[in-house]
Amino acid sequence: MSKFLSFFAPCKAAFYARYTQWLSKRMPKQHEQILNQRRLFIFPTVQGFGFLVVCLLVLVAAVNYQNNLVYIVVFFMLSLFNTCILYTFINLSGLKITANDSAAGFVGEHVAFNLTLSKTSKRQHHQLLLSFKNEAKTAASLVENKDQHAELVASVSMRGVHQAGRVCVESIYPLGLIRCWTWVDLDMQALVYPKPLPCDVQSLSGSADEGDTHSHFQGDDFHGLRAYQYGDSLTQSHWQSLAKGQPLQQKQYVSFIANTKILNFESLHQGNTEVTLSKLCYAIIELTKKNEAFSLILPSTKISLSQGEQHRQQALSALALY
Amino acid sequence: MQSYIPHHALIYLLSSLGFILLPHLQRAPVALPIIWLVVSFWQYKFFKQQWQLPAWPIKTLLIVLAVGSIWLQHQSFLSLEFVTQLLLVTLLLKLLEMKSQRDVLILLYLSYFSVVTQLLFSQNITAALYVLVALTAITACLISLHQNLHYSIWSALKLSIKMTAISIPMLIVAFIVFPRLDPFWSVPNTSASAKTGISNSMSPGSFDELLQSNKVALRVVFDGSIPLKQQLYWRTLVLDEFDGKTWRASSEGKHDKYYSTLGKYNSASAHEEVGTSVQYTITQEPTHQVRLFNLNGLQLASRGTYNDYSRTLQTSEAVTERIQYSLSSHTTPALDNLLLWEERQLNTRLPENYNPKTVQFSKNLRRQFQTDSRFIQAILEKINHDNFYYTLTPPRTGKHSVDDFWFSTQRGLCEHYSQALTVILRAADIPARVVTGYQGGFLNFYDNYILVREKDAHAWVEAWVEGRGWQRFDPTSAIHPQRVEASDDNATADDSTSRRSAWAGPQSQLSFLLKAQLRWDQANFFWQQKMLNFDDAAQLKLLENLLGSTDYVRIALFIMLTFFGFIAVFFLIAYFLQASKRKTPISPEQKLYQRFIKQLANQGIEVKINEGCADLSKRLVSMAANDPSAVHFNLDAALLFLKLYINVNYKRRSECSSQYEKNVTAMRHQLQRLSHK
Repeated sequence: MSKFLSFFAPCKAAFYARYTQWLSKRMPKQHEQILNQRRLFIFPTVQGFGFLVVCLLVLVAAVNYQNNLVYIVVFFMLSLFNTCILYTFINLSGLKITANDSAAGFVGEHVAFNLTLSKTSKRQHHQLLLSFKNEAKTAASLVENKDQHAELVASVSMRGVHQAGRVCVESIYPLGLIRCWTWVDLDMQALVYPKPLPCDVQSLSGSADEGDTHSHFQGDDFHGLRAYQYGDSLTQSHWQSLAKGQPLQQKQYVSFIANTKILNFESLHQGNTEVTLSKLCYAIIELTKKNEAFSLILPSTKISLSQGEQHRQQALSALALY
Repeated sequence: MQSYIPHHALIYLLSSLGFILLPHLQRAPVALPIIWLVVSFWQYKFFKQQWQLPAWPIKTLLIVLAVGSIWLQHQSFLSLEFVTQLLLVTLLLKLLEMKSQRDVLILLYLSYFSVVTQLLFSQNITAALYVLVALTAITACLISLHQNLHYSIWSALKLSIKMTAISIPMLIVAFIVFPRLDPFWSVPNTSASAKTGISNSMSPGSFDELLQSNKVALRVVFDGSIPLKQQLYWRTLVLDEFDGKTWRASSEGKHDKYYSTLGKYNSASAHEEVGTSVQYTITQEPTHQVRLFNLNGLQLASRGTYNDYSRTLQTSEAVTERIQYSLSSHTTPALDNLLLWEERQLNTRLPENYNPKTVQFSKNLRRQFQTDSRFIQAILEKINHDNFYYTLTPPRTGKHSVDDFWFSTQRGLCEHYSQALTVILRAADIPARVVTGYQGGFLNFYDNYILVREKDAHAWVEAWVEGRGWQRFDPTSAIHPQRVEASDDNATADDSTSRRSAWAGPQSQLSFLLKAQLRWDQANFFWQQKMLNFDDAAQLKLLENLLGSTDYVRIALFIMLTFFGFIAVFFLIAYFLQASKRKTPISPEQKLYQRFIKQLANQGIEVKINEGCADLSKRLVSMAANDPSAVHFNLDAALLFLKLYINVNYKRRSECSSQYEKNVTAMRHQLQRLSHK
């Protein structure tokens, strides 16, 4: 049997490749997708086929007893089935799915992707199930005129940029006889950090010299104002000066760092890159927890001395993308 | 704790099962509704996680109880009642094993099938509407199975009603076009229903129940004018054998030699004979007997075989469902001269040692008249003049029932009068026999058909008159109208008196209730004419009227058009229902951007539709660098505005709403600054 199946394996693979190719042509990547007849597939469920079998049995009764009212029951059931197709379709059609900010996570854990479901019309969307392929399903319903957030999980096993792939959006509402579904590619990505590997943090890092402190205009303490430059972040603009009629000013912050560490890839490397990265990852998490400043030196990149959440993410991203 | 199905689904399921059970109650043992209550309660307790599902001894006990009680009720394993009620019991007892959503689905599918079973027993309008309601309830259950607790219990029912309503147009089309197939295999008609209507024999009391019953027996539509009421004697059975107590149909009358096939009725040939014959179509309610009904002088019949001796029609199989047949009868039957010796023997035979006084009376009286007809006339006159009463509550008679009736009680029903007259005629050696059937009926003037009820049951006499053949004599109608006793119930009182009266018309003084009854019966009659009799011939006719002809191409086109039309209408309605909210409002930043472009246009700078914001700001900067005097607006403000717009529009909205508000405010500010250089 397995031999027989293995004979077909290449066929299956080829078919699947063809299918995904066709799918990507029909439904290209997009952050925001509105479900319509181009994107939706529809087919009876197992229960649906069971229902049709019941219809057939009733038909046999109608024919054998030559009973017109029994005929009517058959036709009622069949046209109910037909109406169910329309209802199931219209339940999904018009649903807008938007991918939110990209997610991040560690190898071996689940990464949560955030989606926003919204209506494009008054129509309600009931009992939706969203999932990645072979992943847990998330239920959602859009009844009120309010956007809904849905969190989709995917397990990740590789460090780096994880392509989330297609999201299955499905529903069998209202009768469960028909399943309407789609595979939308919302072009979602997740940054996957190495799996933290516990180790002795103090031994990993050496102290940095004191002179570095003031060179980083990053941190929590206000330092002063300077003129706005093209490309500056608007979150740090000094809007009050603008309101006074003066040109826009930028606020500057610095942090004063007491104890600093240097995390150097080369000095830790013992043959297995992944193990080293995992150890570094652990160190970064631990140091941030203790609110200690550190700098990270990788063969490809150097992240200068700093601390805080933003710094942590920067450092972890560097590890992920190494 | 999580229950295996939504609470509402269980409520719907239990009540739908009750719905399915209800119409069977009149035939089912009392145990069935009790089992329904017990099982529903148990399942509800299980659902509430207070009880466990029963162990096998209890289940076995319930099965034995249920099946045993059904068997006791019907005493047969093959009858339709037994089989359907067995199905219902299966359905109910399945509740004791229901613990997953899959079980519920199986139960629901079984329910869809079980709804049908009641249609095998009754097919009137109420049954049809009831089935529709039951189907809607089951569908609501199916819907609520896919809803969670946030939905109200009525939402499933509402949606189910909506879906049912939407499904009806397709149902009608399917009903019209779906080919009517021949049965795949013959189903034994083993319904154990008791025979109803006029029984096969006549003995004292055999009419009592019938004359009280308002049940419909026949509905008759006449082609052309309706004959007088006193001419309408619906014959069904001839009783020629008397044992002193009971009248029966003799085996001689059932002899093969009497059966002949009449000319088959078809409307074309029937219409050629105008004047002398009357055409009519009888719709007969199921009697579970083989006999049909006809007027005297039958010529053509679309159904059944004709018996020359009794001049009645009968079918080969018992009438277990409503049937319809067309007939044609002569208004003045041909003369008949031939009475076989056996027939004469049979119809003059009287049991010995019964009714000696009557026999003597008859022999004496006969000698006073020269002809048989004069003699018969004299007896009818005697009934008219003497103190004979018609009553629905006749006194009991002894062994010599006719003697007692004729000489002492003188009160009775049609059965007493017809029996007495037959005995008297036979004693005088005149061949005579009792005929049973219905007499008259009620004209439903709303739809011009005759409604014959069971209370119209009647017995009369046929006597052989030399040279003319079998002649009808109705001794009951000879009673003086003043001596007809009204019973407590007015509806039955008109039984005898109305025999001679004319048809009631729409102008006649009828109570509101009676008129409503006629309307309801009219609706029922229409229902069975159009709906229940919709066979392949009717289908072909309707399709021909609808489409012009019935070639496959046209029918296929018709199906396709209605199908796609249905879908189109569905989506059109869905579209219009939501059209009001279809336009998404323009966001504030887009509004501001449109105002910005308008202001630039006033300055003589056209912005192309496909020009991005970044390109536009670059263009503005280079313009200002080339020719600062051409810029009549605040360049700083414009650039800042564009930057803000890019920021707001292309960053994800979800980021931070306070930041968003701030940015939009800043945009508005820059736009105001734009014109102040």
